[in-house]
Amino acid sequence: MKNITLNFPATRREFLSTSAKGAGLLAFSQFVPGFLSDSIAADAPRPETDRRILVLVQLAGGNDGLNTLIPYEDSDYYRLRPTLGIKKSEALKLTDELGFHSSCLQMSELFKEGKLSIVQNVGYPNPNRSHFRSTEIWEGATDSNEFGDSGWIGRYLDNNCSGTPSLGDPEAITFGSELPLTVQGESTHNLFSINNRPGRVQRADYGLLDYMVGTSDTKDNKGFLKQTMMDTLITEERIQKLFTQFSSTVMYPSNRLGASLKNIASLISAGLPTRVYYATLGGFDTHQGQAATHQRLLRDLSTSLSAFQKDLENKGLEDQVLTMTFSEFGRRPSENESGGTDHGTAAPLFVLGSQIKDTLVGKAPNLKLENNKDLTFSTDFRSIYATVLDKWLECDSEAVLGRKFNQLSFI
Amino acid sequence: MNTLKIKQLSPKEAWKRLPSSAWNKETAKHLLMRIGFSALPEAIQKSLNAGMGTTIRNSFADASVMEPPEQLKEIVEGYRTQRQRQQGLGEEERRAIRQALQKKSRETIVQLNINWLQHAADPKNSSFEKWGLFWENVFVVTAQKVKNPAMLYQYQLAIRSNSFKTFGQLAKVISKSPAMVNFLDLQQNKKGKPNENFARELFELFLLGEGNYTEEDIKEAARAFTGYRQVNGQFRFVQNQHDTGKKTVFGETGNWKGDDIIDLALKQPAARTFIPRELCKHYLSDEIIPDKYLIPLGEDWADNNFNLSWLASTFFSSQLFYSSQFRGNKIKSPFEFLLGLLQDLELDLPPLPRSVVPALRSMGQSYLNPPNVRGWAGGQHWINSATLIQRRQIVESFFNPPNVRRMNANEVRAMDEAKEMGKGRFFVTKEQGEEWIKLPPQKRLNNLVDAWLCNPLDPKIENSLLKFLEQKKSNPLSATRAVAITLLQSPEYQLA
Repeated sequence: MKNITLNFPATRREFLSTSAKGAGLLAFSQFVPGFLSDSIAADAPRPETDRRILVLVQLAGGNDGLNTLIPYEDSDYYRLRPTLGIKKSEALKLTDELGFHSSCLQMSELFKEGKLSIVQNVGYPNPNRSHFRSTEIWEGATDSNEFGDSGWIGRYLDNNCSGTPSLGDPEAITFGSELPLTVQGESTHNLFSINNRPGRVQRADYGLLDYMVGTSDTKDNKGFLKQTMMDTLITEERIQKLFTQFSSTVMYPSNRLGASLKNIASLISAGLPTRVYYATLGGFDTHQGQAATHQRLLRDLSTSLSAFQKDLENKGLEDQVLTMTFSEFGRRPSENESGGTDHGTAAPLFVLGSQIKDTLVGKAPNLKLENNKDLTFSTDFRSIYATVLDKWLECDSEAVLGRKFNQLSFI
Repeated sequence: MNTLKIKQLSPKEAWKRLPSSAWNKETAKHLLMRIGFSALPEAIQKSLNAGMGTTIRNSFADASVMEPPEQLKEIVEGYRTQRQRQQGLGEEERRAIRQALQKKSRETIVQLNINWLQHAADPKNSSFEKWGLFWENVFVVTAQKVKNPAMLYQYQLAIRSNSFKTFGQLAKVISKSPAMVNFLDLQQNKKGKPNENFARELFELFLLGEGNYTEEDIKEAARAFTGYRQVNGQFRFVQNQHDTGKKTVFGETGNWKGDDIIDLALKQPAARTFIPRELCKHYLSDEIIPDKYLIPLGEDWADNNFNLSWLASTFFSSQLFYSSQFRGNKIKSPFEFLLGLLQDLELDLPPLPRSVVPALRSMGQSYLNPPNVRGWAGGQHWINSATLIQRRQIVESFFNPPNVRRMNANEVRAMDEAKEMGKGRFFVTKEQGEEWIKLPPQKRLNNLVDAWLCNPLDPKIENSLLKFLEQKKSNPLSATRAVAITLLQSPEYQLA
């Protein structure tokens, strides 16, 4: 049984007195930044300064890849998308054949600066078109007929790869009301999920729980619960405080992803040893009236990613962070009768960071398709995971994914 | 796990009936918390009027069994006709048929979670379902391996239909339940090629415990269970796969069949204490009760032909069960936490598989799906920062209306159906809050603590909460809501 304790002194009395004064639990973290002193003391695998961090951005609902990355020279694209297709004149040209949706202005700049890599036509064999199931496949990194209870990042944490934070610090931090499968391992980890409705600081219990927890000398259940809950609250408050203290010269857009990425930047710049963050942008399930919705969503994505990258660069942290998007599936190449698109299969995926080596990876999809047929993927999403695990997180990808996958050249 | 020191009671006194003079508000509350999931003041009052014996009997008297999920018939039919439907088709089409059935099965297992929670949340069924959970954590199968919801449904029904007969009868029925046959590979156990998986777990985890049998006993016992099969979800004993030779188990030689092995195992001294030990783990304490206390109970139980009804009524009326050292200090499992919360707030479970099932999984539990054949370890294993955050989030979610915008058409329909059936109280309403604030702060706080927590609050904590209520006089509704949420998120509330 893992009894998680934070590495700084907090007697019950001290704890309550600071709480009562309104200073909050976090006061302690400033006396002894446990996460710094600790990792130096305990044979930390690598120094703080080049600790590498992965940020996952889920595009929930199934992003329409063909209207994100437009094959503007392909007549089949316009055959399949007579009304929804993005005109050549409107696309932001990236290469002689490909352009971004006009909402992706910042992403196209990042691409030209060599900081954004596009992995084309990503999917997996025997695709599943259920949101729930396909999300599970992506998060679990399994074959489509295989079922597991753990996610690929969870199994990365299980494998105790180098640079995992010491006991007491969150190993992964997710934004949203539920803990995504991605970060759940076979064994228990110190995971935090934060519900960051922008501007919300107040806890539903108005901080009253602080009175009900505390350190305990006894190992009985009540003492154990009070101690574990105190540790949880302390870390939670420490994180909340880092959010509010954080100042940035970069203007983040006011959408959910922007808020999450801003919070992630604050935690990274505070030196939290957490190596994996997970944020979500939802609403990509565009069955009808896609044009306007998708335009807004891509603008949210593009402006948020670019603000995040700029912020990291201003703080000199850009070499430490790799950001990657994923979505449970792309959408059907043929548009439907309601000005939207239905569930499909493969789609491009984006990787962002100053360490990008190759900005266009993988083969474009073949659009010589009959009406209502789906794309056949050309890059297995697990190749991307394997590349990130081996080259970025320095963890044996075979141990996490169960077998070897091709390495890609984006980093 | 520590072995516990028992205070005051000797092993002999421990299992004597609690004198009726000791039946009071505290002991009644303890019984209700442990035999079911909650102990609201009205229920305590009812128990005081009825007396202990009647309360125990009544706890099980009105229970019904869970109705099968709607989709089950289709699944049974699907498996029965699968081979026939695949005949003459190409590999790809056959795969499509297989996968469609697997998909339906998984969805139905998720639905089974919801149906079971709704069933168990009904106070009439709570005690019986907690009793069912106990046996499901002894005779473990996992949905992960069994996969077929019809077998899982049949298995939980078999447990409930036999759980007040004798232990031998229950064990024999479960050994022949298709889910078990599938789960522990009895399907592969045949004459000349015995598979020991079931025989090993039968001795180690179902009947005796480790160290109470030899490897030779397992080998020989496995031969006795050859020929157990399930065909289309029905048990079948296949005579020509059964090893009819002589087997020696626990020193006794004969032409044993499976049922004989269970009878032989029950003659072992370890069988007398094994289930009482598990029973104490499930209902009494996260720490181990010393053997010298388990032995007298086990011996009387064996003299009563291992009758489970006798065991339950003896256990729940014993002095040991009510001993003050066991009150309010057992960590609630995720099921116990969620079901207790629904009852404490008098709410209905929102029929939303996409939010309920992952939330439970984040807390560490889903129905009929423990991590392995040992079942859930329980106790402090349930608690870490991630599971505590999830527990807190669930509490909060019941103080806000469900987010309709995030629901799909099926979910909206399920919510509407539940409302039509009068099962539509999904969150604590403003009206409920207005009821609470009719009382002055001190009384208001006392009522909530009394209804929800096993033990009185530490006076210092109580003072802080009271001060908060008094300071926020201008907005009593939101102050009371905050206090209510605090109490339900507190360390104390995780204890039963």
